[in-house]
Amino acid sequence: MICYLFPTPTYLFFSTEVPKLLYYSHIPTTIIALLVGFYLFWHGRNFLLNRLLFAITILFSIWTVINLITWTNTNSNIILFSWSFIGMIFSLISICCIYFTYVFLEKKDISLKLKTVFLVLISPVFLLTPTYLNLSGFDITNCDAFKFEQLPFEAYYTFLGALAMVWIFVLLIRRYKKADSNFKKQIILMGAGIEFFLFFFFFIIFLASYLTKIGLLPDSNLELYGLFGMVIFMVYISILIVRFGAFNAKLIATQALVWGLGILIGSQFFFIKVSVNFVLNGVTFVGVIIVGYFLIKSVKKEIEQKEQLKVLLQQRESLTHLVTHKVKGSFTRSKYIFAEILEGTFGAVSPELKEMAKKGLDSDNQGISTVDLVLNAANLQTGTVKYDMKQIDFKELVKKVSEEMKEAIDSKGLKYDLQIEDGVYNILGDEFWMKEVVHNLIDNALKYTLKGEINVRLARKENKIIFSVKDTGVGITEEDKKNLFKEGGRGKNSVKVNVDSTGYGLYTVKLIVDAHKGKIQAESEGENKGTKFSVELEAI
Amino acid sequence: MFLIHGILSLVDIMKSKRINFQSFLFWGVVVVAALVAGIFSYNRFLIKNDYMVGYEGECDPSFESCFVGCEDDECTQEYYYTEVQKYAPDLYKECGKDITDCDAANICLPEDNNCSVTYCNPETANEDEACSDLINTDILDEDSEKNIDEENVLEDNIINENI
Repeated sequence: MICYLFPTPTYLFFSTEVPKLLYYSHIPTTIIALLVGFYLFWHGRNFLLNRLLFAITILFSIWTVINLITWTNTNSNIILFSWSFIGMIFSLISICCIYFTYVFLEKKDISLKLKTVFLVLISPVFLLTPTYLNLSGFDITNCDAFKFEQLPFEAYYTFLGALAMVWIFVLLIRRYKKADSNFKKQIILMGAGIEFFLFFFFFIIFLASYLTKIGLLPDSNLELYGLFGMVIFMVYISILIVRFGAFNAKLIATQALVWGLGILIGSQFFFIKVSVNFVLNGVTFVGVIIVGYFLIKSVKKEIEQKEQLKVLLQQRESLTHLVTHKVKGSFTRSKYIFAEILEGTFGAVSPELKEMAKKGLDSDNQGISTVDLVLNAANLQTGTVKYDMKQIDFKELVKKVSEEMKEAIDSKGLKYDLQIEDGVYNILGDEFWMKEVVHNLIDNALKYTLKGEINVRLARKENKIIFSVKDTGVGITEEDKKNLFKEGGRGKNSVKVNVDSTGYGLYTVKLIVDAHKGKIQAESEGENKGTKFSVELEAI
Repeated sequence: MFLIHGILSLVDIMKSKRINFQSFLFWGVVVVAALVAGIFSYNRFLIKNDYMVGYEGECDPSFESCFVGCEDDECTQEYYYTEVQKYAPDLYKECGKDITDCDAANICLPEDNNCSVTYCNPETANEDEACSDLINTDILDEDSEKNIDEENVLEDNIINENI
């Protein structure tokens, strides 16, 4: 039967008398879904997760084509044949969404039992699709089958959609509780995307169909908005790929943006009626594609260079580790030789030789601490250091380090003043590395102070602990302040005062303080006006 | 290109047995069930045309209680109609694909398998349905569920129910 009041479409679903939003809501949405689906299938066809997302996008695309036919075609046989599959595709999308969520969360296939449950849930839809319990007839005046859709069948597949939403929500919440922070972010993104999609797709489309059927809406134009849920889902999937490298696919943000922009501009062709606008949109579209192509090419090149640089840095790091370990080994062997000479293992030695051996031992010790400093900085920087966070008494730690360093400070003729205000100074931290912080800061003051004094203060300000080391040393220029806490950031005059300056001491301190969620700052009024370093830590 | 790649990928996956038996069984059942449902649907709608067709039939307000419809949104021009439902194969046989200008589409014939012509009844009409003013009031007295066998349908074209 032909709907005698409607124009015949060309190519199955291209008609002139349709809502303005029809093609805009169907075609670009389908293109976006297919692009993402195919892209992920192309880049990870061996992964079940990618295949499932591909299946969802394919089912969605079939649904949009069928829906376009029901909107535009005028042959009742074709419309009814297409319309009869709507419930089946809805149900398959629901089941695939649950399946997809399981695999996304658990990173493995579901059990046979669950697959059987899915089949049982979906089987009534398969059985009833070709029967009168799905569609009983066709209204050729309105050219639709709303009046002949059977409510129990429609309610069942909509129930499957609602079930999918609730099921997925429960799965997400359960897994979220156990996930690490990185996966939690992924769960939120994926969960929000799939729930938005299901809500738009099932609820809005069912509402539009139901309200049209009972006569509250003159037509089902409202259902056109239901398709935009897929766009939201695909945007979230793209974010997951770009930010987290999910789905084992590589997609750079520029690619996603250019594609998105191209699709958005291209989509405008579906509702532009004025020919001038059509031409202008065409020019913009071509422009965006060309510029986008070169932009993606250049960004890809930059990323490749960065990856090469990363490899080189890793190689350099390995080399640094190898060299420093070898050097440290040589220093240690030489140190023991000098120590044995001093202890008289090789018999009595002349005072001159003894003096030389002592200098040699000091030099080796200095060398070992320099190597340790570089090694520590490298390990802290790469995150290979695992902090053993425990409650520690920072006051005792400062006292202990002060005691250890007092001799060296006294021997240099400097005045040392340690003042600790009354109070509890417990912090959560790694004792070994916090000791490094205190030691490095006092040692730094010692090395760069030729005369005068070193003042060490420990105070509490509400729940903060303030540890400061103030000296009357060489000070810091404004220029040097910029590089103070950076890797290898030595001041321009530092080598004049301390020939062994590596530029790793303060860098190490900064890395450790940052890892303890603290703050460090340096104050100096300028060259030769002394320096004050303050560390702020959280008290417990 | 994408499609070819997709098909080749599926073949690859099947060949390399990356899909285990359970998955194969699950998807196999789904695909087969969908195909079977599709074949039955095709047979029903495209071969047998096994469905009812509803449309607005012709109605003369001088003799019949008609539904009143509007030609445009402002309702500057009204038209009158009955609600007809016929079994599609009967309609195809009587009128072909297009029911325009087909008199048989407006009435139920004795050989029709399933047919109904509904007239407007002000007592049972919905709020959005308007009925024409009936000149021959006797018509409302007739039972709206009257069997077509008892009527001489070709004489007065007023048929209320089907066989």
